Amino acid sequence: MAGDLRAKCAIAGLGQTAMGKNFDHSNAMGFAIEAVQLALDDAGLKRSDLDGLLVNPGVTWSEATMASFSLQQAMGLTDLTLTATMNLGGATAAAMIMHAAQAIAAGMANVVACVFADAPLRPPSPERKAGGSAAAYGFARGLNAHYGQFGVNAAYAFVAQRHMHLYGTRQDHLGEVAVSQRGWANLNPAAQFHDAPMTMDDYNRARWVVEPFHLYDCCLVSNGGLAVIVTSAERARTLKHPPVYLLGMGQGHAGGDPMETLTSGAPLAKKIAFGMAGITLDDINFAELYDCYTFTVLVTLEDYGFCKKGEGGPFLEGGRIGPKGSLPVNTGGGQLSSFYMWGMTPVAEAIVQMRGEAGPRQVPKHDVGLVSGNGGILSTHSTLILGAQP
Amino acid sequence: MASAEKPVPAITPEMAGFFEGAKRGQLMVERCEGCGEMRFPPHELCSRCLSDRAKWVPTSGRGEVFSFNVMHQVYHPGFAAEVPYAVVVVRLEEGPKFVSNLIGVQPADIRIGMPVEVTFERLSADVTVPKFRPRSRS
Ligand SMILES: [Zn+2]
Repeated sequence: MAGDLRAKCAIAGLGQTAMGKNFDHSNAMGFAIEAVQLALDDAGLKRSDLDGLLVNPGVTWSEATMASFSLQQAMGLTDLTLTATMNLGGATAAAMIMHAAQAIAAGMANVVACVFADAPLRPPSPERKAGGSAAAYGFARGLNAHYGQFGVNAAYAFVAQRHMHLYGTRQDHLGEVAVSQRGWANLNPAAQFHDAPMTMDDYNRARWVVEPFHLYDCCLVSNGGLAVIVTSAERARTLKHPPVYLLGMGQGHAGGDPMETLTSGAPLAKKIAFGMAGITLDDINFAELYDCYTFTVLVTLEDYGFCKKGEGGPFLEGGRIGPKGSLPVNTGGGQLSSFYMWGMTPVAEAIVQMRGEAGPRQVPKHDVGLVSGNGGILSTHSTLILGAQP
Repeated sequence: MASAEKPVPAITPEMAGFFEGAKRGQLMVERCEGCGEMRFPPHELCSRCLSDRAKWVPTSGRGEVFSFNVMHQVYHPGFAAEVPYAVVVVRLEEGPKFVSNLIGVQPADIRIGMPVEVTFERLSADVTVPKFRPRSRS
């Protein structure tokens, strides 16, 4: 039954604004509009071709409860037959794409834009120190604020610390992720850390944010917008770029306490997505894995079965996921070294790789790619299997 | 420059029983009257049996460090003089986990599994907050 959706739909357009300290727009919606326009241009489509709009507002989108409607109005889109404002945290991007595909395959929409945008960074000003991310993500209430437990970094650190305690995962293992992804970023001119090589010593010397996370264990909170256009495989074949086929899709939200489980929803999502695509892990040429923290990549590799639970650390040794390694992961530098756009970061890089447009960082074989999204603290998970052929 | 105060937790209606206990020197958790599950923080419903009946009950105040972090960034001026400071997750003998601070231990000396016990810090006439300190394993 799940196989019914295999290769029925494809990604036909990718729109990406400049990322990072980008102040072209004063708010998230401005970045969203630019991203959707870029995605339509990329696909060779017009605004009037859109009949679906799915929106994942970031933390700074005002009136986020009806974000898709406000974006529709702002862009003057009429006669949509599908819209929703969605939020599964970092799992949303892939989830939007699978819902778009479901609607298209069911005949309820034809051309759907899926967009994420956020603008947490403010231009530098004399009165305020740089570092909008601390202000944007340092929320806490009640007792937690009294104890000094602020923000997501601090909560994720509890989970990482458990993994290190139970399985002997070391700081250098987290560093392997950071250094490998920096290697990829150094090959990606659009990455914010393109011009900044990093050794393991550099990683270890960087300041702590919250132990066990150094500065480079944490993603690069960015301003920007990213949109993709999903349509039927037939329609996609008539457009500007070779289609990126949606071979498999799935979600997994395991529930429970991540400090106890140390496991994401990937095993659940993988079963559905890999089953739909009719593939195994051996068929994967490259993986774009959600990387809000280095630790998330380590756990995700375990949860997809690239190695056993608890063996993510040793698996990463020797630069295995870096540019010279045997398993290309987060080939644009990822959220750690390129830009943080929630689940759209891994989606965007996967599209570029599938199309063979990744330049110096292009992986040699790019027939089948794995994309993961992860929200909350290992709370929500989504999987896409992308294919260059149907 | 005078050091800023740390944020003082508000006594919300759902937390009133917790802070009354803390004033008496008791670390309270909610116990579900449907199935007996102990929980913290409080919830309207039990996630196990969905009962909406629960009572605040005192715990032993004993537990062990389940996890911890060491905060290096200042998110609130009240912590400017304390960084780096540790935040711990204590798993109480009764089961619930409790985010708190550990008194009398340097961050570098904190270990998962350390036995700890509750101690109380009075912030005002109304607000007393639990913290933890090491205890001998007995
Ligand atoms: Zn119950």
